[in-house]
Amino acid sequence: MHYLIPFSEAQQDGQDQLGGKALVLARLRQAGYPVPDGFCLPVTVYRAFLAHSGLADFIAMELQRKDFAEMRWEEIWDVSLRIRNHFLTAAWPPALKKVLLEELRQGPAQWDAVAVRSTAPGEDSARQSFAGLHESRILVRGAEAMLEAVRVVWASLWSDGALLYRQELGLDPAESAMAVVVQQMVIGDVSGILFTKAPHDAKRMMVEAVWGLNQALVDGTLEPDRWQLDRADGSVLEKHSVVHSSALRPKDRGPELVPLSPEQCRQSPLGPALCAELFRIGRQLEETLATSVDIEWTVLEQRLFILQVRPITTGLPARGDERSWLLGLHRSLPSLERLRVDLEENVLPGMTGDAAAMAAVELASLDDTALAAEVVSRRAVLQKWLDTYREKCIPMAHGIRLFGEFYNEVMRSDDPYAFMDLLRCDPLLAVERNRQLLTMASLVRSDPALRTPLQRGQIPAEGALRAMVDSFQERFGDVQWIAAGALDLPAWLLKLADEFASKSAPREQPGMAEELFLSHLSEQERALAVRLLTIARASYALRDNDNIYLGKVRSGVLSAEQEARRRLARGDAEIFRAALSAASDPSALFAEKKPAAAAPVDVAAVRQLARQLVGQPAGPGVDSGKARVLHDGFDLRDFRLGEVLVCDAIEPNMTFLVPLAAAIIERRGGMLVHGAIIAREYGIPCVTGIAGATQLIHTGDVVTVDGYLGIVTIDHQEE
Amino acid sequence: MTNPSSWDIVLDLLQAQPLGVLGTSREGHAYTSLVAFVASTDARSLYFATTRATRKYHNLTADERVALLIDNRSNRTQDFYGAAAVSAYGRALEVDATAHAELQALYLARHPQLKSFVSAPSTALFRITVDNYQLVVRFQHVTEFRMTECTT
Repeated sequence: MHYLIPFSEAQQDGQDQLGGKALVLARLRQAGYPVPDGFCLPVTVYRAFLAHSGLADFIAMELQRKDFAEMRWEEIWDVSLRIRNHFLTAAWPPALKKVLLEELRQGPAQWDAVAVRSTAPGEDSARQSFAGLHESRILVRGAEAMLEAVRVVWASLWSDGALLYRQELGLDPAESAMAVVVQQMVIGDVSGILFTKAPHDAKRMMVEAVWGLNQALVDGTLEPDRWQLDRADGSVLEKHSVVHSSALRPKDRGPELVPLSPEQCRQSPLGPALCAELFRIGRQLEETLATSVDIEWTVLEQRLFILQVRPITTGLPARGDERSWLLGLHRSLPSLERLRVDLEENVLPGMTGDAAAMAAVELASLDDTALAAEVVSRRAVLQKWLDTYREKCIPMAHGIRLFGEFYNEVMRSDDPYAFMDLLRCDPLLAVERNRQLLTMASLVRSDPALRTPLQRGQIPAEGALRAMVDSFQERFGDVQWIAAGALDLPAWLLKLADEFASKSAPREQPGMAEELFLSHLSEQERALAVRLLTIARASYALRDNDNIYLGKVRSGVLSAEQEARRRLARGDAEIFRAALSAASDPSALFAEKKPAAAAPVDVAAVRQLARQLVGQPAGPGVDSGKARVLHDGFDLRDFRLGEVLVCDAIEPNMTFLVPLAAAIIERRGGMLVHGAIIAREYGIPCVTGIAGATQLIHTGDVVTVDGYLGIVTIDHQEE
Repeated sequence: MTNPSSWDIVLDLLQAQPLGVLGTSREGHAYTSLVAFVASTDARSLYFATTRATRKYHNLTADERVALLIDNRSNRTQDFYGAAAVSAYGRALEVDATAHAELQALYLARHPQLKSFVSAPSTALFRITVDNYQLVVRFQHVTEFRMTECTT
């Protein structure tokens, strides 16, 4: 039996087996279009791999862990990561592997290099476009490497983007399958995309072009030149040019960005002759396929090649911008490197500057009008930074995944999260903040004379403790405001001093040595690995640290609000009512809607109790303790050493509690929520994504948190 | 029409069925759980896994005597004459470190989708050493197999 089907033999009735993309390419090549030759690997092979490796059952189990509609983006990332890792580590069924290798050697491996692309049945029909959601691999050489690329492409059927998209379209993930195209690689000098109907003007065509390979344009690494053509006669109506400085080209084994020659820097990759040819072929293709299309093309030695053709879809029904925001979280390495610079040089110093400016204002000395204006302007500043947070800080988190995907592909570790240990390099600010608090507490423990002023709510005016407190507050802001007024420093230091009297403070976990990881890599992989690791570490640290910075701004807002409320309570300043109205409160605006847990059955005859809950494993380890459920308005001082912290979401004002906790349970899910990151720093077991955690678990219940498997077991204490 | 021997029915059930109902004892009260199991080829041992925070794990630490029901019913009327059910009786002990890797591989060959579950440090792999099996077919036809007698 033959698995690989050459383009010349792909038949029109093979849609279910070959997918739309493969069929279109095969059909166009058969019709004489300049499409590079290729082979299709039908859906049968994907299904055989799934059935023999146990992956089909694993995927089904993953998808039923939690209602997909209830998952946050962090959780969908995790599901996708786990499924992808199973694809990478699953053993090839030996018989299948043998036949495939033989066929690859006799077929595509005869070419210098190939591109391996997805072609899923149902994708790229006129109604749906999965463009960019599935992975492709270019410059793949040799049968073994092709086989590995095939499973990476298969795994991308389960990318978070594809999962979200299928959810949006109401497609059943369990029904989806994937075929693969293995196509001869044409290493062009200029590449681009032609839209036979421009996205914003149906009377125009649009051409985008870059120097080198197309991948850098598709993933957003390089800005293209963009020309608009008249659909009627192909005349150029508009030219948008950018400065070109580099191109993606093959180097050693993989593609790499290389600087352009000075001559090419000055030139546009597009020209009138090329545009005319693209126009002609675009019109022809529209006729052949009876639809408008987008076309990936490349030019090698003045010859135009068509690499991919997709029908242009009309787009999705409007459902807010949430999905496009989520999909926009994917960033390429160079764009993350630029984002990091922006965050470190502009965003974080900007937050610090604004917070410092707020701290410099003597609020008590402002008259009522000035104070009311101060509240309004501080809220506006916070709003600006919250917007920036969503626009820039959250997308930075993608750096962690980019590295994770690379690590898992190279290391083939059974634990899809093993790479996280490499990211813990410099201590997080929240950990540093806790460390300083614990140092101050140990000072209090060793010097009983300090207790009297602390019990009166005061920090002594001078001495070692005062010096520590001053430097602490300068670095992290006023702790009372960070904790939203729920905590004052003297009381917290006394509490820490007492809680840790009999037990040593928790030790932060050491990270994994990067030498060990790098030693597994080839010289060429190493350079890329170091760049990815650098970005991943920065994004890991920023993921939590940005909250500390944002917390400083928030603390400035809260202190002004507090002063305004105080005056309002005295009844002498109606002016504050408008300033303090909830409508203008950015924190309220950004507060996440908390989904309510299903109402428990609790009628006279039946009492429903949760006994074991399934969430996501987010911090390895197992520990038990009494649950302490944090509801709104919870007093942090009630929390006792060795309790299990149960909350909706770990906020920056709760990270103080973490060194005291035996384990953490959080309603929000995923590896990248703050609770999970802090828990890892301390080596505390953590389970996230437990829907209704704060309703189903009660303070005092004895709970066991299994952070390896994401399971929480509850022993309810009878009231 | 040829009937398989009764012992073959037992072996078929052990090979074909992925799940069984485990009975443990909790302070003298019966406690049942659905578990994924695998049998050794000689049917003398049955293996299953559980995390250590579960009730069945606690029950087993207090009393290692267990029963495991394995059957091929489809929950239809035909089951009354067509279904076969076998109960294994024996003692369940956690697999020790020396044999763990080999037995985990045996278990995963049958249940590959449980890889992360079985590999987790919080999961315990148990071996039931079977004393005897009781097979029920055709509604009321019961045969007992004592493991000491069915070797050779």
